[in-house]
Amino acid sequence: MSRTLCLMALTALIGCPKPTVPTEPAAPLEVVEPEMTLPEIPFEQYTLDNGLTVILAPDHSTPIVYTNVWYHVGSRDEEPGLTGFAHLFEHLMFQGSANAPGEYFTPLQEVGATINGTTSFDRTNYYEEVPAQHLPLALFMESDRMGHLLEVLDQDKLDNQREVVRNERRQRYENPPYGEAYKKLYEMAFPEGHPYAHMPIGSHADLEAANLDTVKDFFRKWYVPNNASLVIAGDFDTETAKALVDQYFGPIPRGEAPVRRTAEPFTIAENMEVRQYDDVPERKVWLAYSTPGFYQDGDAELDLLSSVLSGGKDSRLYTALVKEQQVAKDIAAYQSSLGLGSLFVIQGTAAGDHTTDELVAAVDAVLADVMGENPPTVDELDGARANFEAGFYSGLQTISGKGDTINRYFMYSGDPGYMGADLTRYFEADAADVLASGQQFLMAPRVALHIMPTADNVDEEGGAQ
Amino acid sequence: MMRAASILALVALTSTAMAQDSTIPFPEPLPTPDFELPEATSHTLSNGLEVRIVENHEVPLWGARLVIRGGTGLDPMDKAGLASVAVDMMDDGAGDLSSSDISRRVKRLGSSLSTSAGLDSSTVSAGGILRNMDETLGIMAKVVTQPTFPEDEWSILQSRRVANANAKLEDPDTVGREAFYKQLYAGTYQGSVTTAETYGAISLDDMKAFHAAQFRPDNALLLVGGDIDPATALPILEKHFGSWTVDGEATVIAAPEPAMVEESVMYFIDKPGAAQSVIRLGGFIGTRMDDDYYDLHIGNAAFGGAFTARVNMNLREDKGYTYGARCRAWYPEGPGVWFCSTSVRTDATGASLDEIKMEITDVLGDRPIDTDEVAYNVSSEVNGFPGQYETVSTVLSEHADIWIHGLPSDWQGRYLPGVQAVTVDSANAALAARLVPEHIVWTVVGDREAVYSDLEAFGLPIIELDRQGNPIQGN
Repeated sequence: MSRTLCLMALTALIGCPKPTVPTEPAAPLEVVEPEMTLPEIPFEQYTLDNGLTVILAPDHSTPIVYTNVWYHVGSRDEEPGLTGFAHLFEHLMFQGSANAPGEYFTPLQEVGATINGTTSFDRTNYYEEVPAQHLPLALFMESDRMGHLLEVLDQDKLDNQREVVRNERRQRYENPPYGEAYKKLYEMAFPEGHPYAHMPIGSHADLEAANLDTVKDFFRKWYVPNNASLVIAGDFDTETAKALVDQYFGPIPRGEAPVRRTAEPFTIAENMEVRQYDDVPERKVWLAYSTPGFYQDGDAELDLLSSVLSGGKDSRLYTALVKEQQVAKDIAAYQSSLGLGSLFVIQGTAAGDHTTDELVAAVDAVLADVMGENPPTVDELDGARANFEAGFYSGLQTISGKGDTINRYFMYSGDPGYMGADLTRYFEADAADVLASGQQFLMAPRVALHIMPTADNVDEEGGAQ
Repeated sequence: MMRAASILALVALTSTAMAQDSTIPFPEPLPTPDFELPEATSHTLSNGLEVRIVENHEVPLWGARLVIRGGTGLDPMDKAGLASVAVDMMDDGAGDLSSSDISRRVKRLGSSLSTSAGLDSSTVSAGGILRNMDETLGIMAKVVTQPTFPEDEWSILQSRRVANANAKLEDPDTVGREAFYKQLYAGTYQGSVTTAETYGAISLDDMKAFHAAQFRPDNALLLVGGDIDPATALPILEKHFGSWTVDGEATVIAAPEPAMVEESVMYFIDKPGAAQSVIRLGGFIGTRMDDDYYDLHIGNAAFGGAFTARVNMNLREDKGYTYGARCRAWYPEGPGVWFCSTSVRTDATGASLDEIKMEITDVLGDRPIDTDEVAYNVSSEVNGFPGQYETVSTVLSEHADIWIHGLPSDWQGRYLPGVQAVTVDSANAALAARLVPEHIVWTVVGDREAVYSDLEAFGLPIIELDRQGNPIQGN
């Protein structure tokens, strides 16, 4: 039985775990295997004359409608000296437009909407979930800021939201311990000037330097209908929705097609290590490896491998580091996928008096073992696959989940209906594929960021950053 | 059709409007679709265990929660964290399964299994792909009824909890939140804060006793939802949970009766070099069964609950002091708690405190909530109501809440009429009755050197606390 084999393999690796319940072996597990029915989201896609991509996904289960506009611009498109600009701009999109002056939230919240926007490396999105009868309002509001933002944008709004964003930076990244770890990690993992070498939140200096002219140029360049995709999901009549989309978005003029910043596939060439000493309570370490971007070969395999390594209390890293050797308090591994190339991150906290160096050594031993004598088993991978399968369905439980999924697939793969193909990647990756991806991408140079309490900073030469 | 005609008219208007740069009007809504609350069916297993089932056939998933009355609110002061670790340990060994067995099996089934302790209740949850529901429920039932509390797992968990208890002292948000509740509840149960010492004092026997006392079929509710129906699900639930029996009777948990704060005080916790000051203030209010519950709900939505409420519009959108400021009411067993929280730029600490105080003074005095604000927030709540019931998970949560707190069974149905009955007078009367400035506790976590003079200028007596919320000697 494969479960027993797996146990034996683990035993060889890390010594025999102390049996916790000395009784007869538990009954064998009865697993019902999948029949390979792939989830799909029915949708209709078309393009307006001005280039706006429209994707309609009706779902009448609840009387709500979700509209989601993705602008294909993110922090990766920011020029040097303008870090944080895409996100600052996102805030300005909530400050009113010519035909709906005043706070963007005001008329939508009055009808019970859930509203927000988010900015990431690869895109900026805006959404509102409204009661079904208020679809016209949602489309009116979204179209008005796409078509008529600049008429009413002024210095006061910029100054106010600049302060709000700088407070967001303080609240989310500066005040919490380790809040700027990812900023440092991405700076280390990508070369200076690479689109992913800076975080979407940007720097105070660049935010302070943002002026109204630059803001307007940014809008004119990126916020054109031919650089956006609109998803409408939920309880609506298709013909009504199409008429409303024509009415509100149709008149917005097409702009010049913006050229996104891109980068050749990048691979960390040699190991790099940074040790920081800070006002933090514990010793933590982040390891990052260069890995393939969204939906590229190896991306799904590394997702599956991350589950084998750190998904649950039977996973390889948890068993070795947390349970057996007790060098780590916690350990996590994940493929952090982005469009131009991803990072595979292993993040852990040292337990007790152990050092991050001991933790890293233990990680390396597990990786060597998994890539060598004890590769991922069929059983482990079946479990990982089943969990990803459940995750796919889980994302379809809400109308907003469907809407986000469709727009994400459209932007990254060009096909809003990519979900079946996406899940197929997980079903079709076998143990050999997963092992090959692990060997190729994790047995490679990496960056290591150690962040430790200030009190640790003794008798170390040149370590402090 | 009226609607089609108006759309055409708008299109014609829009084309000329664009050219002339005049206005595009706000649209009229479409017809409002019907909405019915998703229903749960009630059942009882042969051992008396109560069951609620909610069907939803959109995706081939299922989910179950076994909820019991009793959570961290039952922790002895010197063993704060007991319920939390007891429940955490339940999936670290159950029946003939070890921690690794449980984890491996659950994962292999494409399922999830988790445990959590809240203040008044504790929960074991499972769910996943429908085809493996039966086998997963079998594991869940073992976790609920036969946890083994293995010593080696406790040793690992205890170390982790001790480390977490120390680590949280560096996180200003956590320090501020815990200090607020510790001072507000002043020695009664919710004020108990976990520390390395309290985790050190907990034994496996304590956990076993907690489990034995609280996890009983007569103190539990089993909620199941998803792509299922009662006819097929009930025999499976009966198979796994129907033979669960225990002796004796369940203990009735008494609601706490903490005292009101007599005099408003500013508690301060130093965090040298902090980029922001973390502000939290509030006090006790009534319960959800009080006559003014919906009035306070709408009054607070206008005052501080919504993004568009006075407090956030002032501190964020007008002054730029913060990323966000909100006030809300929270209803555990016993009295509810109303509080506001925000993180503000360090050099705007004094100004932010002044603005918050001014908003309170104004709403209780010269600038009460007006007709438009009430209408606006009632509209927001009423329109947003159907969207609250989109997922099985939220429907199950509401049924759990009703059961845990003994709310009337038609609680969900009372919401719309309750909110729609709120008037300007009733909203302001609720705010006046509940937001008594003398009873408000204030806490600030920030950089002493930068903000202390602001706090002194604010005028309240200042008591400095350490990061565990204890008064520092000499204050």
